[in-house]
Amino acid sequence: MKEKIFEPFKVKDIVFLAIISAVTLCTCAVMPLVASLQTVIFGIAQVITSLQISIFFAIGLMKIPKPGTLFIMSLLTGLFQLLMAPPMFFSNIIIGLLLEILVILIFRGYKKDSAVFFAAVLYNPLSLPFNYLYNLLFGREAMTAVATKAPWITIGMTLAVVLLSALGAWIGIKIFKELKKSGAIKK
Amino acid sequence: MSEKLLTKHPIYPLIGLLASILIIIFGLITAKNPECIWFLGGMWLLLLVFGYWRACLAVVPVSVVFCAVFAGITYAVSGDINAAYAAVNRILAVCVAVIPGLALPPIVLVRNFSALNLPRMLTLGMMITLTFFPLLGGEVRQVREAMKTRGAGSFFSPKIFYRAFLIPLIMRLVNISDTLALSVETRGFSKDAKNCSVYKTVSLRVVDILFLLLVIAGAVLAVVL
Repeated sequence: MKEKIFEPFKVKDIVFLAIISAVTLCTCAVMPLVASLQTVIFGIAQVITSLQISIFFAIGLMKIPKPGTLFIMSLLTGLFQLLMAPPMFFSNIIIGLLLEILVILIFRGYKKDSAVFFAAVLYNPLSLPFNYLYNLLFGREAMTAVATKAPWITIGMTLAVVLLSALGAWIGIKIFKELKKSGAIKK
Repeated sequence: MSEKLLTKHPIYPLIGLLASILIIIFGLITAKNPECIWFLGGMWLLLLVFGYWRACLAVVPVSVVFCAVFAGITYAVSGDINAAYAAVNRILAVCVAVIPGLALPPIVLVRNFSALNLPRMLTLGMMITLTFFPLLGGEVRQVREAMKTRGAGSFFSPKIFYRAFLIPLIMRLVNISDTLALSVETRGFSKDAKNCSVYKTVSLRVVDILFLLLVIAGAVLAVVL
């Protein structure tokens, strides 16, 4: 029998995703603290948020492994970021959509842990090229110059974002499995 | 978000959202201009006059601390006073832009979205996300108290943080989500229900349009002058 890829969301799924999005947003509240350093150190905002975003997004994806889960989480977090930084809203929506398409094409959904890991790892690092292109497009020279000023720092920070995201995704999957084993979470 | 900051007569939610976007965009664009501070000060005053005084006053100490710290860091790193001034303006732009969102009662936003026939999934998600912020603080406090009671040790040790803080917190989140989902369904909320009535409609007033016109005028002046 052919397995269904797209499944409808239930009310309880939306409630859980909204709560996970709220927690993710709260843990990202440290971002304004480094906002002014973005013109000095490339990717500083992504470095300090990648761990928590990937932990909570990985938990959300493991609990509700349906296509669209990542997009709903990115939409809910993005809507609140719209008030503080509009580019982040567009970044969230575009990256959320892109990753959903990639996951459906490669893994045909979030049933496998590798699909969850893939999405949670790539979500934050993808915002680096997006922000760079956005700043290039809208002529924010200071933001684009920081990437080319010190290439080694740019490479190092990009690697740090990827590594922290991978660590966060691994922790998120580990937490979910532990809670599932103990019976606290039902898939 | 504290309930004390909410205003009784908020600006039409979509206009408030648009005003926030305009403030942040024009604040960031003109951050290096000497007039930017006047634009942001004007917007703060405008919000104060339009009934957002609690949120306006609440952001003052936060913005003072943030400005002092980050302008200091920027100056220390770059040694450029203009860069420090731009950093102050960027932080102020964020602080002023969040005022309409801070003071907007979540239910008003939800009513507005429902009246505009936006997807119910989005309305429900936004309502829960908005109302969950104050709850989360309480949950974190409870888990930390439990850690202290059990003598779990330092909060900053990764192992202890993972085992004694993160795992119990996620468990609480899952439990809250299950209870909340049951509660929502018991109250008759359905994702697929086509017909629904909005108990109190949020309508556009002349004051809202005046507010938006003043914000636009301020933004234009900030660029032109």
